[in-house]
Amino acid sequence: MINIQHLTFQYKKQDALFTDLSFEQQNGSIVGLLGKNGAGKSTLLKLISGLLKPQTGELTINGFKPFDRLPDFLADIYMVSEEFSFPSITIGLYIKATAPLYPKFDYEKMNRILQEFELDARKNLNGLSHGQRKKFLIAFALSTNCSLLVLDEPTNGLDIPSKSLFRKILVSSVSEEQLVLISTHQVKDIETIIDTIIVLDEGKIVYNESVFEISQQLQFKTVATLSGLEKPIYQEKCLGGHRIITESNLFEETEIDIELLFNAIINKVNLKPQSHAVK
Amino acid sequence: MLLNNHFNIKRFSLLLKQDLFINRTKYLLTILGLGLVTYLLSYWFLSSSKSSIMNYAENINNHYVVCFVFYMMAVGVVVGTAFPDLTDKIKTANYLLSPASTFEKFLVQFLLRIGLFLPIALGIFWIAIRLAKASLIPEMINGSQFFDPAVVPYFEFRSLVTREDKLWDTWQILFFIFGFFSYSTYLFAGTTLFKRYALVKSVLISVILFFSCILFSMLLSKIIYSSPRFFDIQFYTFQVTQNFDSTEFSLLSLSLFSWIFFLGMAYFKLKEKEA
Repeated sequence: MINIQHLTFQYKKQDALFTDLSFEQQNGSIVGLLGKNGAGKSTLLKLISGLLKPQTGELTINGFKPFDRLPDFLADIYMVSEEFSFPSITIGLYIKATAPLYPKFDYEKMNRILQEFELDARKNLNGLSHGQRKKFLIAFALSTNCSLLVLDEPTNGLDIPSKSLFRKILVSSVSEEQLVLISTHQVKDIETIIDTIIVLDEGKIVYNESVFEISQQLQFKTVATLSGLEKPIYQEKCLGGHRIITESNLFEETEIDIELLFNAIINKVNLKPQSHAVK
Repeated sequence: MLLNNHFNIKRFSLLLKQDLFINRTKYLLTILGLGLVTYLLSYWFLSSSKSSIMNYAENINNHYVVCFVFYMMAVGVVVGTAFPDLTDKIKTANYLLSPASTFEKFLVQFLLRIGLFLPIALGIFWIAIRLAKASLIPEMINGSQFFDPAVVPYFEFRSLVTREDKLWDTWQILFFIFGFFSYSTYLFAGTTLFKRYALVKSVLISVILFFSCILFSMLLSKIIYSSPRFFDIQFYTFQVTQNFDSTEFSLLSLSLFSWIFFLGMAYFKLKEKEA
């Protein structure tokens, strides 16, 4: 469980990135953390995983203060960074050396995912392509069975089949006791697997809703023309018409267009049921 | 429970094993390389000094001391490159997030770079320099002198603290041993303090500090004792014991206890490290 209360953080000689940030998230969900470049997504992930120390405020993860970096906390969190590096050893040796440090590590799951990703345990990690190394890292992260998995741009560098494989493996690997926090720009890659959407903007959590609630409240459509329609909450021109967000009419549920939703949030459109006109 | 947050023997052994699994080739090559280079350089140095060794029997000890000092510099490079993951931002994050306490991570590096490595390194030196001496071949030097390696004594650690067949004073031996150890811990601590070129920066700072101390002492000597020459250093010295004065006591204290400060500093710098 993530619990952040009135958190303040700033890098040295820079303006404060977060002032009074508060946010709570229970285990048992796959959360998509979205935000513009420089919004502080990676910094928030680093604060959550204990790589950075907040200046003020309270930050607890499963009851631990992350920056204390206590071994029990570290054994129950795994972070897949956007950039990573491995020693020049084989996959098999890396697993043999590192997996015992994670008490809940599942070797069978690891082998299964390696097979699905078509990775050979005898291969040297530094002899693999960037995408293959990323797949290995994701496989390792999922096999640790940590309560909190932090994935920073997990689909970057993956080819199209691997992206869909990643979604399939992630959904089948994550249990109810786990919380997966995915930060990404490539919203299309994760829109079918996340169950909560969080948007970070200007140092604040500006949106935090479950996919279920969003689909109850909003509809996402592509229409040829806006005439004859009730004023949509948000609209964007696209090839052959408009992509629109409207209030849900309870008769029809649509797939969430995260990109459109994100743009609406960033443009400060009020997405609550009492709709507001598009700017 | 509280102790478990800082040290757990199982976790510690897993972390140590992880390091050895990943870096075993590197460690093995370092040890072998160190031994081979020491043997070759010592052999070259001893064989090119045959005539001075023949003329002055005492000289061989000086040669051994020179070899030892250079060898310890190489050992310093190994110690001063501890925490290799902290040199890179990505590796630092991985390292800090590996599931072990800060103390265990610190202890693994201390053991690998100092606790285990220093005794092994001393053993390698002992073997390499004795092999180098054993490899010297009898020959005529300058057409008139016969060099017989059999009369040249083998290296003993004792010879490092012996002058004219007399062992140094106890305080001098302690100063020598703990001086090396404390400087090693200083280089070790430097790796947690500096991200890049930690070894070079640490050595540079120690040299600057050393010369600053000398300069400061010269300045004080000039002011307090009105030393006639600027480069004179005068200390107010008193006897602590019959054969041990206050200057010697200060130097000994510095070498005996400074490692505690450096190890403490290394631990807390590691604990507060961000990535």
